Amino acid sequence: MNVEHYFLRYAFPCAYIVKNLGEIDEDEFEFLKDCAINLKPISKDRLEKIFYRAFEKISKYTKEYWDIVVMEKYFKEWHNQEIDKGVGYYATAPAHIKKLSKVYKAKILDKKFNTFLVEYPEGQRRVFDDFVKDAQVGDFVFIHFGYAVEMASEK
Amino acid sequence: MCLAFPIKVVEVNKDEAVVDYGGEFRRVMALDPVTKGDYVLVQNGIIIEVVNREAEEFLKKHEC
Repeated sequence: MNVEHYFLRYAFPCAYIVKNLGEIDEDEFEFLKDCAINLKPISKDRLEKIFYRAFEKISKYTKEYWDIVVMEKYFKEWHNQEIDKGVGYYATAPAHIKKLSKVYKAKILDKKFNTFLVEYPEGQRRVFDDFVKDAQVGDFVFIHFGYAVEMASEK
Repeated sequence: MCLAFPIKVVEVNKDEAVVDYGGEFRRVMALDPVTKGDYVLVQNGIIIEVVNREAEEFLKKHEC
């Protein structure tokens, strides 16, 4: 997977928000979904434009962010730290939004329809399986908002 | 899709629930046990989490 898709899979839940804000239309939303699920090509410029809020945050840590190792560090460490510290929007965000916004490692307890029931440090929740269709009960995945984003090792 | 607000469950029938979107009632899938009166988060028509504790704090703050 290239770095654009790695970024997009973690950022995809935010596409619902930018759509609700009227910053992208239904067609663009569906395009992003197709790119995220089927790994269709998408440019870095387009991602930077749509998800500019994320790139503002990443830029505080490094300008050389188009690198999978950097993106991984951002989503699994820096992003959660920003939320815990209450930076920007997170200063007043409700507790349930902060929980959804953080990236957690979670264990799959059940598979039903196109969702997994997962156990994560804050409890249990359902996430959609679009990005990790092969995952099975007992496997570990990283979760963000309503999605299982990628497989994780048990450690 | 609306993950932003905790939504109240007003009816439960097996794996289906009716939720109250501020006066508008919608049917959603309940793949895991929920109880009438629970506050839940819904995405793509599926209940993804019960958030009673967070909802209480949220509703108090926003005087809902």
